[in-house]
Amino acid sequence: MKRNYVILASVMVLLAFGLVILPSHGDRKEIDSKALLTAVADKSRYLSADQVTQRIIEKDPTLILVDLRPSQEFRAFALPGAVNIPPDSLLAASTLEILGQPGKDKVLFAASDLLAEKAWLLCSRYAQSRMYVMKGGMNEWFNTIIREGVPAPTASSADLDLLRFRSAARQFFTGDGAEVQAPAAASGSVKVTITRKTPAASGGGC
Amino acid sequence: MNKQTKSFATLAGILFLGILAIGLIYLFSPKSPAYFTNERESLALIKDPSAVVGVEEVAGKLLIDLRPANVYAAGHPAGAINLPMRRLLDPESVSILRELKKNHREAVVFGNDELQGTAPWLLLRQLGYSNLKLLKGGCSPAGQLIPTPEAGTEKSALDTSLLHQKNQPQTVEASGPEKAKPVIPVRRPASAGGGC
Repeated sequence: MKRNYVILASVMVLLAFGLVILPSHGDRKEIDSKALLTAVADKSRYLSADQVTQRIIEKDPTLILVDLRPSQEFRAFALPGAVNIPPDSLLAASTLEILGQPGKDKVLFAASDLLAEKAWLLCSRYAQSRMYVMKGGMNEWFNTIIREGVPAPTASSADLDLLRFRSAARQFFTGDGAEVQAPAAASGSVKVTITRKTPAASGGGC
Repeated sequence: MNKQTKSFATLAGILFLGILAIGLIYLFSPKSPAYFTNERESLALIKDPSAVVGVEEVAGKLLIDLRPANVYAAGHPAGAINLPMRRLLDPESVSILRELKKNHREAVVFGNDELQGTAPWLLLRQLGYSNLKLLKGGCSPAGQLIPTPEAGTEKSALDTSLLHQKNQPQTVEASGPEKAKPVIPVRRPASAGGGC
């Protein structure tokens, strides 16, 4: 009887040693690698430069802009309200405090979107939610919003609306705005001439 | 041995078997691949310039196409194998990756463009597949490898002189040829003839 107890107890002790060889997790929460792959395949994390610009202009309080460019480039020009986080301190406690704010949309970008994508993946591994990547980064933002777009002759009215929005946004960021001219073909087609028949002056009364 | 001790021993035995079963289920349950790198190593991967290879350097390395199977079938570089991104951590893909790792075979992953390949590549690197590189470019639908354009790299293309016009004194330029102003006809009330 006593021997049985000894055997049972020693099996338990052996099982307890199994805990030692379990992979050790840091104190930080991590999401499962398969769940992360599902998140990678989901393209809804990409925001276009126009979408981000619109939210900046509307002063959306749920928007946090995270600029990953070197501080020198950040000082030269930055989007209004952006925070500069060097990639090295991406997982520092102070950064995760910014990124971990509930109910805020964190938009990551650098000069392009490759660094932001990597930062997105890394932060997503450590269970950060509501992270977005600005597609094309600051270069794309500059090329679409600040550089003047010339409408193609075949531009649809939606395209023209987009260009007008960008023109207004350019004015917001630089103080310089030029009217977007509708292409000649489009402006020619909407011109309508109305001729009015003027009533003949009524002759004298009685 | 009295009855009470006997029932206690039975209870303890059942409890023991229960714990043993839970332990075994945990050990043999299918698990997602575990992360291999810690925070510091993962951060270093982000900035590692040796982790990316240009389109002209792929010779001798195995190409791994991350695009969906039908896109791969439509056109892919010669010698490329297809591991669709969505099924990257399925057992069959993982066994291929493990085999490559074991043989120290260098492989280059790519998608439509560099952006599409970036996240899957970094995920695999964090899972320990250190033999994988990322292509600095992408694959066209016809199966040609195309390098990433200049604007897509992390080189800044901002022209800050355009951005600071607000703060600079603006010169008023002489206006160009006057635009013909649209003439708006004003309707005049017809002159009422004198009434009486």
